[in-house]
Amino acid sequence: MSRWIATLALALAPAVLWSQELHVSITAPEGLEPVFGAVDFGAVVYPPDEVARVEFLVDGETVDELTRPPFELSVDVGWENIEHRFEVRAFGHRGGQATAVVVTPPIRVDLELDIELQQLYITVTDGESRVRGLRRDEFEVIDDGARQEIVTFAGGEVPLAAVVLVDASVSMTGRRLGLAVRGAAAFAAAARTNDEVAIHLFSDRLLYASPFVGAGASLPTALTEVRADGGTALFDHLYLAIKQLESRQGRRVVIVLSDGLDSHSVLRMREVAWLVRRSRAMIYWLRLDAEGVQPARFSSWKNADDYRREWRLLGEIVAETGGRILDLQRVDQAEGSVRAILEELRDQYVLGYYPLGNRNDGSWHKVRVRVNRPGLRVRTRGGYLDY
Amino acid sequence: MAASPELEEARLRLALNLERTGDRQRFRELLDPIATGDGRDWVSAVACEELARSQLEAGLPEEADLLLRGALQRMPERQALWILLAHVHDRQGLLSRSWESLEPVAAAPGAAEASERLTYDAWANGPLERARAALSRDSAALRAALVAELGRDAAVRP
Repeated sequence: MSRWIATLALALAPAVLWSQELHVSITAPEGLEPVFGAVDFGAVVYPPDEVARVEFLVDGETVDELTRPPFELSVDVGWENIEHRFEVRAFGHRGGQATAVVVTPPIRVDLELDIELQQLYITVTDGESRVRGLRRDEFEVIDDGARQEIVTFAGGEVPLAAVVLVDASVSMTGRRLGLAVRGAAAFAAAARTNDEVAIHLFSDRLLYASPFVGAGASLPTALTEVRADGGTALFDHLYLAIKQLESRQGRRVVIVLSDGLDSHSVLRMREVAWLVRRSRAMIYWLRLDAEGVQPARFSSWKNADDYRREWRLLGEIVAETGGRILDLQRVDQAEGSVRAILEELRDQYVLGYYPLGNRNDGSWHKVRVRVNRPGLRVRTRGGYLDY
Repeated sequence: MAASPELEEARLRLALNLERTGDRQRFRELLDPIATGDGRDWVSAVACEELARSQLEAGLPEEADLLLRGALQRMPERQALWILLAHVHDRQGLLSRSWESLEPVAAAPGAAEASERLTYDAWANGPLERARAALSRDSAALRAALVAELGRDAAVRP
């Protein structure tokens, strides 16, 4: 009898051991090419049910730890031309472990290139209406004082990814919120092929968030059922909108419909400004109830100076992104204003260049664009963070 | 607070006012027990947010990360905690974690409850009345607290 049990145990042993054994392999980076800046770092682990946690290391330092698939992340390896070691360590629920390593080589010095293409979305007007039909050689790009060679050029029709951010706090009670939502929906309805638009309604919390929808898609009816309520956390929700756009392709645009007076965000405007600068998204602000004066308000969280400072910074950041402020006297002007913004976006020029003299040190690069034709005005992003 | 140390809202409001005056040490001393306790109410949420903000500003993002993740175990419905955690990850350069932290917010909009930060701003009279009642019931404790804070001479003045 005991011999039978021993035989059975031996027969089962490999199966038990096998079920605990983990296998891990790195899916990105591949290891053949040099890597710089933000790098996709991913792995697959088998069997997935056995995985308790997966550690990701770059050059010996743990950069992240995930407990469930997908085991993917983005990691910034910097811009130094050096070899990098990517290591993944998987740990099983029952003590199993597995490791995989990929080493990426440095680039040969005689092949070294700066591969960061800067794209600028540019609106040109003659003071009243937008100007179309300009040629590439009529534009001049100055980056930190140095003239740049324009390597890509297109006019209009670049797909956009947009979030329309509607203030649904108690000040929007009644018809005001309905009119604001109608404006947001008009923007989404005008989406074209490859455009993506989402609508967020917020107060002191997120009240509604549609998925990103493309051309021809209809928005959920729940959008019209939201009731205005609560305080205002604009900066938190601007942050959320920018983060949602980070993974989207094309032009990134946020349209804010609000008076801009934020009482209840956990984030400060200066913290959101940092993210906006990094994201390179454009912000258009449909400013309600401004009437050309700065706000005078205080709350338990902020004094009047805090309100004024953050309100001004929001306006400065909007201009810096290449967007603009449109003052609305009444909410029913929202629909016409979003249509005007859409037309403006369709008429933008898109220039690309490889900046000379980048140091990849996180510094701010001031950018200016000129058009070599008298009487024309140019609006674009004021600069970018050099990463 | 000496007479009624159970009034966490009073502790929170005092702490935030002390921070404005630059007394960061007392700010942290007052908030730490609330933020690291087992509370699940709006006072605990605000305490965690403000303490985590302070840690981040002091260059301690790992501590802020730990504090916020602990708070979210207790209060996963608090959107501002998730948003602040995402911001902490952003500042640490952990982009994928930052996106992950925002998933619960985007996936479940329409929270029925007012945010903790709106509640803090609302100045409900109930807790203040309870604090006044507690102080009037225990004038000896009030006197002791004033003596400790202001010195004996000040405490016996009319």
